[in-house]
Amino acid sequence: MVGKEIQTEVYWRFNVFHRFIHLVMMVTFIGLALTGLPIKYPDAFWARGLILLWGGVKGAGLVHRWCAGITFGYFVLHLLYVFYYLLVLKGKLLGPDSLVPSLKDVQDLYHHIRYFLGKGAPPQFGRFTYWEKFDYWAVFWGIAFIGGSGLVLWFPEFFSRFLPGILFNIAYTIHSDEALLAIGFVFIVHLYNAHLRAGVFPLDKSIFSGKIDAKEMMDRHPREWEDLNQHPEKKEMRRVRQDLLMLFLILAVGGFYASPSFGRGLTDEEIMEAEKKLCWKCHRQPNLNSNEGIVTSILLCMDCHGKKDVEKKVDGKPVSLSIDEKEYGKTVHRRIACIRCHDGVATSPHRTTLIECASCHGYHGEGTAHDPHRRVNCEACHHESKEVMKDPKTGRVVLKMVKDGVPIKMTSHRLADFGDKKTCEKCHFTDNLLGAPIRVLPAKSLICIGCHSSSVTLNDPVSIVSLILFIIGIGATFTFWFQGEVGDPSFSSHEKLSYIGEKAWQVIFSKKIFTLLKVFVLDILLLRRILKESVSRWTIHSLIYIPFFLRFFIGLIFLLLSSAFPMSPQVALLLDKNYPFMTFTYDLLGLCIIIGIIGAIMRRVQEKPQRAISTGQDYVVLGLIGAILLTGFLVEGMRILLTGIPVSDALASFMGYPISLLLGLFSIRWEVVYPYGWYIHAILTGALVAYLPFSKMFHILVSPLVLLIKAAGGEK
Amino acid sequence: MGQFLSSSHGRLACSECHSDIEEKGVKHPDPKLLGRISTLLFDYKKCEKCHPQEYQRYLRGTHAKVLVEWKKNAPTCGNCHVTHYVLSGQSRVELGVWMTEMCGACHPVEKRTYLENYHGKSAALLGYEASAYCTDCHGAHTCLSLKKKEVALEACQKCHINAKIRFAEFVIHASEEGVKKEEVEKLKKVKVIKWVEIGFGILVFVVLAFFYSHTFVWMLRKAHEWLKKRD
Repeated sequence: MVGKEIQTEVYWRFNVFHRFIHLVMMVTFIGLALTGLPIKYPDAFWARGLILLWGGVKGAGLVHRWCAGITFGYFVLHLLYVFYYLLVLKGKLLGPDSLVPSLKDVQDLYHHIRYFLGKGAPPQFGRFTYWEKFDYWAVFWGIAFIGGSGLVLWFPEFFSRFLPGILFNIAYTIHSDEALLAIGFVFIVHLYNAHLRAGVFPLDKSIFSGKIDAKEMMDRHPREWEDLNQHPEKKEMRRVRQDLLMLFLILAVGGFYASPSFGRGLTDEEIMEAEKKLCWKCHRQPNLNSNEGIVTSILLCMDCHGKKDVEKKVDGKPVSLSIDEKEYGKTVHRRIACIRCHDGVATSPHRTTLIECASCHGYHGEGTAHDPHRRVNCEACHHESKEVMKDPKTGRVVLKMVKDGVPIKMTSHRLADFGDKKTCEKCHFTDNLLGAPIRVLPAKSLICIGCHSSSVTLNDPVSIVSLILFIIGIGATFTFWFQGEVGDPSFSSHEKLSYIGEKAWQVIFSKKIFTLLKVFVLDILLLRRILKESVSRWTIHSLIYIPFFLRFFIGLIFLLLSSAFPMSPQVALLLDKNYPFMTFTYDLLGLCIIIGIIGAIMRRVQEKPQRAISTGQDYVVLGLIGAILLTGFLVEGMRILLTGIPVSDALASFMGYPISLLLGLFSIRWEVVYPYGWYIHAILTGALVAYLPFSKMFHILVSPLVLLIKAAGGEK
Repeated sequence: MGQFLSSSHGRLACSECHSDIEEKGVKHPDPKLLGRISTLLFDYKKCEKCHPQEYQRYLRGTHAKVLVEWKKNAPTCGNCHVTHYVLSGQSRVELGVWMTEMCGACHPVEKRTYLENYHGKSAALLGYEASAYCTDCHGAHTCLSLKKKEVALEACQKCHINAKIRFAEFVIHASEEGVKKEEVEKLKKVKVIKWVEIGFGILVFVVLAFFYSHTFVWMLRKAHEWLKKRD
């Protein structure tokens, strides 16, 4: 008999990576099934309801593709892990701990069936039973058949280049049939075999906790238990030396369920609505021989003329163009379409009616065109005519309504070719009157996100070089950390990595996450420890770091907002460099940093003796940050001066506007200087990013990490 | 009558379409046709007056070719558009669902295969506007045959902009029914598709049957053991 003490011993069954893959697989598989089924059985009674849950076929397709992408991702990750396991960890491909099918599995199946039929005892299973092996290999089967055919159906245009079209018929059949097989298998066979069968019911926790206790192992995997007892060193390795962790499974599932691939249904509807309203407003020709056509036509006119405040100026006096719909309905003309008599409307008084491109097209992100372009009308860039001007009233850059001296018709829809970068040169040339810099500057890249709402691009050499240096620095530091040895020198890097992964998993899915949140807010965001030490140090530290953090946070939020709501004029307003509220905030935060830098330098000058060791490095970093701020404000001033923003708007940039006035005193061609200023600002930023991991400033990343790890370790 | 008045044509006078009744030498009611319903009472050429574009397209299309060149019976305007009760202001999905029924009345095999295809499933059965209905490929009023790859490709490219010629080899109406013997290539393709379907159907059945019975007998055995233990 085995003693009670042994029975409560706990052993590892799945490592943190296996569990992670299983969790991701579980969630994406359910997602794939729930989005695919209504399309396989569209006439079933539940199909329309289920499809509505995803916001229609389009939404379901989107979720399906997201889940599919993640599926391919985890599959590749798993393959990489297998290579890593075989090549680096020198793991065995065969043997009792292997998932590779063996002769014993066939024998087990035979004996198991005999047992079902009442002809003998159940076989003694090893670490992985034959059905568990089948489950594992079924994923390969599924990825090959369902994934492969799914890819063909996802990108039919691409695959039709080199594969015959009948392949789509075959891919469709395979995708549909194999998916049915997978669903029918997973939700019944796998669920029963792994979780619901007697003795395991209701849930085999080991795939989520990674652990199996001795009693369970003896029960379910007796051969494995035997094997471990024969190899005590193996047993010791597999033994869990800590208490079981609380498992927040529901939290995990809930978290994945609420992932951003959900809830994207509304934008399409909105686009459809906008399209209907806008295009049809002008492009529909109602049939004036029918009642409906007449009503439609009248309603179209009443859309504007039914309002009280429509008027036009005749000789400087306002003349109302408003029509009272009720009164009009009493006249004999009520059944006659307005345009029967006013047949010139399409040409004469309505010529200036502008169509808002933005009601169908989203705004550009920073990756396509710099933010100052928010003051440029769409057609100024997109129309092929090269003649643009600044509208004296609004200050916006607009298209001149002439092309080579010939007026452009309102119906002209000729678009510029943006494959040709020369298109930009219609504004960006020397001596232009629009205030455009003479060079087309690269998009604000990833390294700018520290302070600006930038794009997720990396196209210019400055960003690439500085980011590579940054990554090398980080990588070197981490490698250095992992070379350190704690106590027992026999820990390999793999063991250290798995230990960290294991720790992170245990902390994330436990109550400790709340302690971590507390530490994050108090110690990391509010710098509790520094405040405890010295108030002046805290003030200087906060003046530099909080504005940086806020600008980074704002940039990040704006990046998310602009990708989630590309059509929203409110978001576009926030991204406008001259939007008073934002420009004021940015200037204020920048000023705070400058004050902080000055304070830091003064402190160092005063307390020189104590701080002699790190002073050199400190001055480099402080100098860099200060220079970035100064060039930033100078470039802002130049931009305000060049683009000639109305004073009322520009005043909100309380740093940039005075600088622009100051710069205006010099008769220098600032549009030539501007690109150089911009590049200096960018290069300084790149230098700071590259220098970060090699300097004391690395504490920005390390200190929070150390605090979090300490908190996770339970130190108070 | 109310239904007619509320339709798109509700404001037209009867004689605007049925003007031949007023022509000389025509008796109305025609004693020969008394008590019979005949769509031929109405000349489809009358539609041109208000719908010139649609009429021109119809003349270019397959239905008109069958009617005029081959002198066979083929649908004219009224057969598809129930002229007296044409509703106006219908959405794309409403029109599409109705169209599937209307075209399917004469082309039942095509209707069935369309509804088995992804396009039909999402468009007609799940109401997805961006998917294709009959006329999106075959053309409104022209009703083209898309048996030639080159012709079909143009239809595909309306949505699948980057489609190349092989893309058009996809069989939408994949059924042996109604395929003429001359269409050797399509017959071959349809056969391949059929065998793939059968093959994978068997695979699904065998695997599921094995594991379901495996699970079932396992449950039985466990239930049996449990009952025995309870005694």
